Amino acid sequence: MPRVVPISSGDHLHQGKYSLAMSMQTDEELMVAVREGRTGQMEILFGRYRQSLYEFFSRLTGNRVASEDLVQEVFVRILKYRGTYRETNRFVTWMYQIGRNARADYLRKHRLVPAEVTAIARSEHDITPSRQLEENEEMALLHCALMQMSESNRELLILVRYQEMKYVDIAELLGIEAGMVKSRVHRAMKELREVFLNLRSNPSSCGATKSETISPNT
Amino acid sequence: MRCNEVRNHFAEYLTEELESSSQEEFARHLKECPACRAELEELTDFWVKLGSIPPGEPASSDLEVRLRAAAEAYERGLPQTRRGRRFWKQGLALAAAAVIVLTVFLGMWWRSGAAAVLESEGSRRVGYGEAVRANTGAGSVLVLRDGSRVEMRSQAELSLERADDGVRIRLNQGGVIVNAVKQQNRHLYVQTKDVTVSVVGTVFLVNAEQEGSRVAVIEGEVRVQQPGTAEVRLLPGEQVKTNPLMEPQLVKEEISWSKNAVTHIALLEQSAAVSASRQSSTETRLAFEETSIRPAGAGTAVTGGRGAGSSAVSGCNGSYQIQIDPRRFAVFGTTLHNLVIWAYGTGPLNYQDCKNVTSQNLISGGPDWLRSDLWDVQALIPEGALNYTPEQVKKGDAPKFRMMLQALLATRFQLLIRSETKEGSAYVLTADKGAPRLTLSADLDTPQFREELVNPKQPGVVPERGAIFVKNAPIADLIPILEQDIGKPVLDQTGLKSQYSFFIEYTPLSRINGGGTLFTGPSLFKALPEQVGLRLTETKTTVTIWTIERAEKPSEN
Repeated sequence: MPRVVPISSGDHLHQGKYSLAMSMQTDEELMVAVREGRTGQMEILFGRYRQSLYEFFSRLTGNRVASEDLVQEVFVRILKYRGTYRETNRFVTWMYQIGRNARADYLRKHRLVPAEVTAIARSEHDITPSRQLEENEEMALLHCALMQMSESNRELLILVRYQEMKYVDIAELLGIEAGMVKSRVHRAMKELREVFLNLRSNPSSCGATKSETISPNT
Repeated sequence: MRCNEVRNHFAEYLTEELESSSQEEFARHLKECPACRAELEELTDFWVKLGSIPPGEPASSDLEVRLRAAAEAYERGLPQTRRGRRFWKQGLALAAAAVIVLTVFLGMWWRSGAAAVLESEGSRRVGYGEAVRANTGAGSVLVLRDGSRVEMRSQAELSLERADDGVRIRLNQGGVIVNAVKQQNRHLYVQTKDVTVSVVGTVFLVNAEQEGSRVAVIEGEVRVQQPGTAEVRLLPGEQVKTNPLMEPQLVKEEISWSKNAVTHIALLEQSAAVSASRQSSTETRLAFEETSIRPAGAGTAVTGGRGAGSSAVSGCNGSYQIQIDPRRFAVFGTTLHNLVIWAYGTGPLNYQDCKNVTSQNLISGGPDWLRSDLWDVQALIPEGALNYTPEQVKKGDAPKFRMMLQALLATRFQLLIRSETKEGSAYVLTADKGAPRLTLSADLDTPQFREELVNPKQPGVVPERGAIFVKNAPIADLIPILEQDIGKPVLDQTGLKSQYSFFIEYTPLSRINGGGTLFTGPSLFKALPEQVGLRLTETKTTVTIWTIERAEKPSEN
């Protein structure tokens, strides 16, 4: 199955001359277009990042409603601040920057408390004892460990493991040296292991999987 | 390296970002240092397990709609004060940007009842029924309430009317290029004396001339209605004339007057390249007569009656089944991703596409359900449209069939796909003289093992962890397995045409490059020449890559 087609090929399915003429639009090119007023191009960026952005917030907060609000807030802010976008910035980094700020504001506005200081709160998708059995106990414990570890390390692991961001990009996002990011990731992994091992010796505390909730006094 | 330095590299090792210059020393230290090795193995184990934690509750299905609405609401609700005058002073680029920013604020005008704004004349408001004439040499741009832009050729004349479900542009004379924003429940119409065009969201051109009208599509799709005739659907590059005596014109030339001609032409070529139809408007387009698409298992999936051309295929998303009779195409339980590969790829239909690296790289983008949701697709092939044998179709040797499939994806899944040719690295597979050899290491060399390779019950290429069994099979079947391991296209230049039996033992590249276990054994690059006499050599090649820009779940049949 030759998937590789030379330009000169007469194969009508591969419109060589067309595909040569149209270069791939990178995120950065699209964002510049949005900045220049072709806001319709936002649609493509929506398509590319809606899901991964949602997952980022969802893993971070464990809360669907908050995550959806945040995704919406990020896209509106991208439109709002489009004039400040510089093509020398990677779009993804810029987007996550906006995302982190949006979340900080969201926490303030809704008096949400980051997961690690919250009391027990369960959403439908939290891990229930019966699910633990189904899932493979270890995996459920690891999930708990992830949700119980420190906020900043959890965010870092989510960025690097699930959002698959490169160290240089995370460095730019967090405003620290790439070498720092790497050693923090190493430390975060060790913290995860520690939390996990603690949970394994005391699995009952796993029910207290935390998600961001409105604190009782609001 | 000391332990400290090695541990500094652990994070890079986990994300496979370890630089090749450090790899050797890193590996050497690990071999000698049980403590580092133990820690790394434990971290790797956590890392791998972490990867399989699900992302949690999926977003609600209306999130996309909500996002778009929020963005639109934002765009319309911007306070007008932000349209600072200083914008105009900062050179051409900013001036151009400001023109567009201006359109963003049009929401302010609408409340006062204007139908549109004439951008070129200092944003003069245009009411319903008012005649608008483009006098300026460069043409004028009219911006409608919904943000749709109507570029008028000089001397063009039109007026706007309210229609029951939207706005009607009555084009009295001349040419317009309409860039319509996606219409939700409303419609945009362009009407000349002898034709009506209705629009969902697209870029198209209408010319009202003395002897008749001409409609051509640049991007998207419009419906054209002439009095007393059936509605015609037009796709990019296609055009309709109301009078057969009118001179035929290339769409490209017809839009050359526009200020945005370059953009339009690029758009036209791009959409025409991906639009299902490569035919001129006079020929019938290739499309299935009737199609039915439903979520797999939801309806009356036929699993029994297999026609002459049917074959069951085990894909990576369960099993799917293809039927191709002369008049009917049906596949049960397949992903849209697979359908796209069949429609735009070049390989055979009954391939396990989702396991094939090249086809994975070939098609990217699109929503997640593209690769997970399963569909039952049934379609009627127009009588006499295809003269292929089912074998030809299954081998991928059926261009018209692919075009029908492309048309189906475009209309039913609203598929928008973009292609691009890239130079990339690939590998060429060549054979030494007398290759491929069947050589077995002493521990494997038993009569039973040889017999299983040479006279197998089931011929084929069977990959296993770190080994490939080629059992009386063609080299072509080995290629995807190689591609999967090395993650690059492999071109078969062995010239070997027959069936072969041989065996390769190797260490997967993913493991060598840091998949978790410590490095052992030769890679394919080494194992192939040493064990069977085949060679992989790096080369450059051009690859066409397809990016899915849009796909929507099909509506009711």
